[in-house]
Parts: sequence; structure tokens; C-alpha cells
Amino acid sequence: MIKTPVLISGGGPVGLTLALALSRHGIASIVVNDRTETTSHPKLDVVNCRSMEIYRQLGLAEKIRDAGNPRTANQYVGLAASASGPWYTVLKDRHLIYRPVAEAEKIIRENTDGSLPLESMQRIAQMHLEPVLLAEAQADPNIEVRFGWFLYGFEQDEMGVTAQIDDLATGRHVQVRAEYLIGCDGPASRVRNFLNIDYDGTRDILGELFIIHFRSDEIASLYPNREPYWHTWISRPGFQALLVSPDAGRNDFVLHRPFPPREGEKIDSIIDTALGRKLSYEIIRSGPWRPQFLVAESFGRKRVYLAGDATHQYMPTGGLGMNTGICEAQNLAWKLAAVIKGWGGPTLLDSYEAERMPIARRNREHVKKCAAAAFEIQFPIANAPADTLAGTAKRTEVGAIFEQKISRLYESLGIEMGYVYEHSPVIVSEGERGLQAEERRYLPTASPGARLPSTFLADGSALFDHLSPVGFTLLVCGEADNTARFAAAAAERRVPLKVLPLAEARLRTLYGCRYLLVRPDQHVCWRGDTLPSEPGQILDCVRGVEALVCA
Amino acid sequence: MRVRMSDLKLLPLLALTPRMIRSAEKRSPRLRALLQEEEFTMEIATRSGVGGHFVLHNGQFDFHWGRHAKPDFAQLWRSGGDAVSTLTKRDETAMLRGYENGLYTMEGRFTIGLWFNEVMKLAREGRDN
Repeated sequence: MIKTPVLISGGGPVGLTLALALSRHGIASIVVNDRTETTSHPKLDVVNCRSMEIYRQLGLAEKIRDAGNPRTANQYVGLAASASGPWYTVLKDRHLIYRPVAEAEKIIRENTDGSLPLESMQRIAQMHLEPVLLAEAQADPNIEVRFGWFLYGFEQDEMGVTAQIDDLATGRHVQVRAEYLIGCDGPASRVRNFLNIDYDGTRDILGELFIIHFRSDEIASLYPNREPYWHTWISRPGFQALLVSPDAGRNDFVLHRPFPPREGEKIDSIIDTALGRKLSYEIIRSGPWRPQFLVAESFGRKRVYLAGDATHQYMPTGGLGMNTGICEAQNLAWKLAAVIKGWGGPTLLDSYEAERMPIARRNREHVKKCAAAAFEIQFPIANAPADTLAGTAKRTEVGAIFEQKISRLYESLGIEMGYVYEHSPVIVSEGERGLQAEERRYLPTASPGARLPSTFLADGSALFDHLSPVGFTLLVCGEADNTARFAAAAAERRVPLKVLPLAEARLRTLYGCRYLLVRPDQHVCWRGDTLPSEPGQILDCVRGVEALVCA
Repeated sequence: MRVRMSDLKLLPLLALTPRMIRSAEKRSPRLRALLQEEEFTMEIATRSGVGGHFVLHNGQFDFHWGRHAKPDFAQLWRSGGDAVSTLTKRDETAMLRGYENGLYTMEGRFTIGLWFNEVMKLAREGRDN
């Protein structure tokens, strides 16, 4: 029997990120994955701003950028009758996320009001992201990666989980004893099924969509500077599609259609119609798939938890599938580490579901609105007589409607970064409710439960880079009272604590208080203008030992 | 536009929809939750003007004859026959195919269309079981 603190079933982006995050906390894990290699399908095409912040914390942001869309290449989104035109509009400069990463980084550095993320999004295909994460995991002595292995079954008791994993190539059975088992095993999660947890939505409300992955060196010539836009929405009477270039530096393309080919319709003719002219390409793969809007009814039981597509299935509109999972992995990792190391209390792991399920549901509603927007942009085109679309005025009108509606999919920093853990048992709430940010706009707030707004210090360094990734950070804005009692209370409880004095007066204004306690996942869990007389009570609440009656 | 006999086929289908939903509501908690969502008006009609509108209000889903001045979501069908054959198909993809084939046009908030798809699916599932 093999022993490990954490067994992770599923070696996709969320499972690998969880293993890497656990390792940063010094926690070992085994990752089993029934596939023998990383995906060869492009799949997702964006690591969003919040996920890039998390990867920065893990020291992976630059490696991921190296593997994705070049830093100087566009992340534009356009609407056209075909990829050959005519174009109705192109979203370029109206928001940070469309700009090349190199330009976005400058804008972020100049921002002082905390309203921007520390990292811009990264256009990248999952098939290029996974090898980065896998290589990092394989090189990490804390992580044992077993691709080609399959979780056959498990049983849990008060002290841990006994699982059986099978080598698919040889049929060899191995028993694993883990303190915790995490199912990051996708939409058909065996772990979720073993736990008898269902999704709470209705399946298949949109029917079957169709996806084509193909390669072409010629499509780039349709775009300025031979640099394909990230998303080209194609709409004209009688034809709708989305052409995705996950990386302007490569020749992979993905074409999405709202239904499988009609009888007698060939894949080539669909691609030709989308491109608007005959170009050479190689079809790699095509097939139907069913979009869903589902969230699991529970995120785990006792010593077994779920993350990623095992907790939620979304239509990709809005790019929140994997990105919601990355936030789940980050949330779960520090809590598992705290409990395994002994300083996390009995309610800390319960708070994973209390914090993340409302966000998964909120994101689902956002994704639904995004999906609706993707259809609504077609209405003025489908409803217009074809000859009027040839006119510039009508195209401008259609373009304006597109910008207003489709921008929801791309610019919603309120959804990405503005989520607040309002009903968490491990947040010292200020009693305020309704803190969830608007969907589109991110309004920086350091209210307990919110992600700390990102900013840069006078020396040019990012404040996030000074936060402890493995423990709590007590931010002290301005002159401090004696923090020794707070530090002593943390030491007494073996809670890792870093005290970070911040001399800049503007930070007191930005964060609304002199003192803030920030968790390893960069969320504020307490703040105040004076240090508490009983710091132990605050620490016991945020580490899940004892709920605090909040002011 | 002249009203054709086939357009009139749409009316009984629309009129019976709330009854079908009410019947399924008793056995589906999800359906009950959906009926408590934000209020709206949804119109389904033919280009010739035959049809009506549904209103979700206070948890009640009702059908009203005739067009609505400003529905939140509207489907305008080429003919009643197209509407009936598409709306009654078990294959959810039929709606999207029909849209691209020009069988109908849409206006307004498509989230209401998603709501209607889900409600009808739940209502049909109950009837099929």
C-alpha cells in the first residue's frame, strides 16, 4: 500500500494546479489520470486574469505566457460575415483584455486605484497549457504523477481514504491510503458518482453543438499583419459560426457551429463558408458536443472533495469552465494544507463548499447570459434583408449591438475578480451583505471575503508578491500599534503569519482600514482600524476552529 | 400577410403549454424554482399575426391570445406548421437548425428562450415517464 497525504483523481489543468499548489504548501500528492498523455485537442482558449494571478503566485505565469499567444500579439474579437469580411466591428482597445499582453502590462503598472488585475489574461489552448503544468508537476519531488492510471474505487473512514488505482496498460492494482481524495476528474467524475452527488440543473437545454479543429498556414493572411484575431464571430443570414485562433503564433483553429452538419453537408464546405474563400487546411478532428449549465449539489463529503468540471459544467461562453476550477483548486489547497499540518480547524474544509458553491452558481448564471448574448448578436443580422448588410450604416449598427452584447463574454472583471465569500464561516464578516460586484465592472473592495485589490508599491514591486503564499499576511497600513500580540497568538496556534508594514498612506485609503488579515489565497478575512484585544478569536475563526459572532 | 390554415395549428399548442407545465410542476422541484424566476413576457407568433404571448408573473405561467406590444422575447415564425413541427421535436437541436434555416426570427432576451427550453424539457420528461 502506498501512503500519501492527498490523492488527486484527474490530471487536467485543475488537478495539476491543485497538486502544484499543495506542493507550494509542502504537501505531497499523487495524481492519477486515465489518459496516458495531455490533451491533443485545443479545448479551452483562455487563462483569465484571476487564474493568471494564481499562476503568478505559483511561479508559473511566465512559463504559461511563453507557451501561449506571443506577448506582442493581439487578443482581438471581431464580428464579420466571413473571415474574409466584410467586418462589422473589431474589439481592440476598449478594454485591457483585448490588448497584447505587453501593452496590458504597462496599463496595469500605471494603475493605482486597485481596479485592475495584477495579470492580464492569456490566450492559450489547453493542449499547450497542460504540458507546462505536467512538466512542472513531474519535476516536483512532492508530486507523483501517474498518467495511464485509473481510480477504480475508494472507501473513506474517519482517518482517511483507501483507494484502489489500476494501471491501464498492465492491469496492476495498487492500493493507496490518503488523508484526502480530491476528484478533479471532469464532467463524468467517477469520484462525484461514487459519492452519489448529482448536478442541480437540467441537462441538454441547447442541444448538440459542433466543433471542428483544423490547421492552416493560409488563414493568417486574412488578418492584418498575418495575426489572426482571437475570436472571429461569423454571422450572416443562413450561417453562424465562431472561428477561434487560440494562439496567433500557431496554425491551429477551431470552428464552432450551433449544430452538426446537415445531411449531405461536408465539413470542408462548412469551413469554406466560414472562411469566405477556398484556402488550404488540414482537418484534425470534428464532432458534436453538448453544452451544459450545471453545478454539483455538493462539493464533497467528509474526506473526499470535488473541483473543476466535477463541480460545474458550463458552456464555454465567458471562459469560466477551467478558470472557475483554478480558483477552486487554490481555495482548496491552502485549506487542505492547513488541516494536514494541524493548524486548520474542523470547519475549515467545510468552508470550501460554503465559499465556492455560491460562486459556481453565480458564474453559471453569467455563462447563461453570455450564451444568450452569443445568440442575440445574430438577431439583427438574421432579421435584416441581406442587401442592407452590404451598406456601411447597417454594418455599423450591427457592430454597435455586437459590442454592447458580446463584451459581456470578455470584459466581465466583476465576475472574474469581484466575487466575495459572503457567507463563509471562516471570514470575519462586517455584517454587510450584497457585496458581490457587478458582472462587468470590478469595483475594488477590501471588505472581508473579497480578493484584496492589487496594487504596486513605491519600489515598483507588486503587493501580491509580498503576501505569504503559505500562510496569513497581516497588512499594516501606516504606523502600527504593537503587532507582537497578534504574532504571538498566531505562533501559539502554529498559524503561519507574516506581518507586512506598508508605509504608503494611499493604501489605507484603498483598503479602507489600517489592518487587514489576508489569507494564502489573497482574500481578506478580517480588517479593522485597531488590532483586536483578543487576536486569538480572530485567528480561531479564520482557521476554522471556532465561529466568531461578527460585529 | 394572409393567414393560412396551417398557421392556426399553432394556437392549440400554445394554449395547452401552461397546463402541461402546471401538471409537471407538481413533480419537479426544478420546474417550481424556474417558475419563481424573474418575470417576463414571451411572444410566439407567425408572420401572418397568428399567435399569442406567455406571461410569467408571481410564479404563474399563463397564455394570452394575441400579440404583445413589447415582449421581452419574441419568436416570429414563417408559418404555424413550421412552428408546430419544430417546437414539438424532442431534438433540442431542431430549434437552432430552424433558426439558421430561416424558419423563424428572434428578438429580445434569449435567456428567456433558454428558460423556455428548460421548462419545456422538464414538462416533456414528466409526461414521457
